[in-house]
Amino acid sequence: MDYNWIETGLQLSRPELLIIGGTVAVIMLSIFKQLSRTFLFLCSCAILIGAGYITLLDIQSYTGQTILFKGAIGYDKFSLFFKMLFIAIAFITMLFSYPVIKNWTSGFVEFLSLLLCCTLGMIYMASSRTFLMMFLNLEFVSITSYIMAGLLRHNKKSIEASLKYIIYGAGSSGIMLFGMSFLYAITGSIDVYTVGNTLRHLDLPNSFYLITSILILAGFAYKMAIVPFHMWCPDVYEGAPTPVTAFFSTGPKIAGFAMMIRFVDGVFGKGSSPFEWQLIFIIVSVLSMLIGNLTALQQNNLKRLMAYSGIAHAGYMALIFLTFTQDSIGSLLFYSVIYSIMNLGAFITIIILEKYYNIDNIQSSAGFAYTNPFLAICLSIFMFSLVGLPPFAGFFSKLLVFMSVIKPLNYLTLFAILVAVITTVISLFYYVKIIGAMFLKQGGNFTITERVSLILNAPMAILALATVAIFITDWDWLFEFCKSCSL
Amino acid sequence: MLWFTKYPVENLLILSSAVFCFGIYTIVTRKNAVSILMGVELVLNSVNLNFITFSQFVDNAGISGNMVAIFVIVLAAAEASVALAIILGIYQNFGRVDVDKLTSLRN
Repeated sequence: MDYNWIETGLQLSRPELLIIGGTVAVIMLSIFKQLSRTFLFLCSCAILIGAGYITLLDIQSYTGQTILFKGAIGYDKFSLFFKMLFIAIAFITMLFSYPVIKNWTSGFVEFLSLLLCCTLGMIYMASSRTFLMMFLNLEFVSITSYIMAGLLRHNKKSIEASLKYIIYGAGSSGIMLFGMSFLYAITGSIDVYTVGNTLRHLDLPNSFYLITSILILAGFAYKMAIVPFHMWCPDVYEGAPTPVTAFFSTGPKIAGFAMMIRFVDGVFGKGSSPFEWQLIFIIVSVLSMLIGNLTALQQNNLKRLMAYSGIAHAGYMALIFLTFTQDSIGSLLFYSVIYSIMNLGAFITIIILEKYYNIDNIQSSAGFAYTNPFLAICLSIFMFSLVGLPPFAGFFSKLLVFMSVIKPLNYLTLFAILVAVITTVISLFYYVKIIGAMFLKQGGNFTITERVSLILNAPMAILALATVAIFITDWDWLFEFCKSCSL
Repeated sequence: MLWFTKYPVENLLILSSAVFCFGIYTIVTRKNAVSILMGVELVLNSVNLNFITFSQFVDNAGISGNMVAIFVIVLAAAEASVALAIILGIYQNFGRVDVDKLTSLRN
């Protein structure tokens, strides 16, 4: 028997192996009580830096497509891009969560190791090619997320968020697998590309596609937090520890999109297909944009507001499935980079507000800009960027998605873009409400117990600078790079 | 010949759809968190039935359906253990495990 495929597979998945080994090592090292928490934290950071460095070397030299482990995992620029992005997100999250988690009585090592595990699951989500791998990795990310949401076991909010998450998550991933079993029934294969090739030669009724698509969308939409399956999102975001929320709002959501892209690319193929599955996406994305933005208007809690803003952004991202071309996938990759930069930045400001000033809603932040102008300015930059106003990077990401969607102009895409533009204007109100409360209103005096840690301030400043710099400098190379990485 | 051996695929599919519907019904209507977990298990088991049926009766299907079923069984066990741990935490904090009584988060 030939075992070469194992060797090739292991050779090409060195970052993953490093993360697996590192996670085990961190758990093992935590047994020794004399090792300080800082040491464990630095170990986990070093693991992510190492994995990121290997991926960076791979992504520069690699072109083409390799299939590893007998078709289970696809190794191409698309998966390498997401590998890089997820490692970066995990690294930034780990960095700014340290000042918060170092004071926890329990759950410190659990947080570090679960974050590493979750990163591994997200990497595999973006590169899985079969139904089995997709389901397994979706559950891998989900189960680690359930535990991370409930890490503060004696906090009522945290544990309640965890329960709500697991009920929604387990139910919707079961429904997704039920839908996949019908595709397996028709084609006799669990590899998405084989399924797509077989389906193209069959003449199946539209109702079959409709039912399976809706069933399968349940699992993906829950991970992406798109409207019919978004109910868990505000509760979990509010209840989970804030660093964990920051991670949920970027990592697993983008991983869901990556997996969805590979699934749609395999089963339905690019461009138009005999079955109008794009109709489902028009409904879903228009609903998420409307509900996300309109509900966010009434929110007072900052984390809840960010949850609804995340739902709205997922709606904008889902627009690219209307015209599923190489360009539109490239614009989604660009969007996901910019979105993670500004969302992580916004969450760092929320963490500082919560930890040092005990502020968690808009009302109590009135007049805050006079206490800490630096933080208020950074927050304004992230908020304006999330709206998509011109001097910030969010403008280009939104523009590119809209441009790529509107290419084959017809009534449906026009309608979707119109809704997207109108809801963008609506979103201005609630983002500006935060900035207005900080700068224009008079408020109480904010006392601070200790100086804001550099490990929180520095990433915030760097992310804010990046948001501006991507707009001012030549951002074209980033978009070209994203396009070259699309499927 | 017994009536149910005449149409094996159809009967098995009716069974799995029924189990799936019961599972979804349990998830939607029950208030007790442990009962909801039972509903999730029903959904996953209906998926198992489907995959095993198709693996047995579809041409060229091979054993991949059976493989999926084995993995789903393992995963259901992992999920159940995590869910039960979380439900235990809920019980310690709230004194009961009814989902409609959990109102520390808004809505």
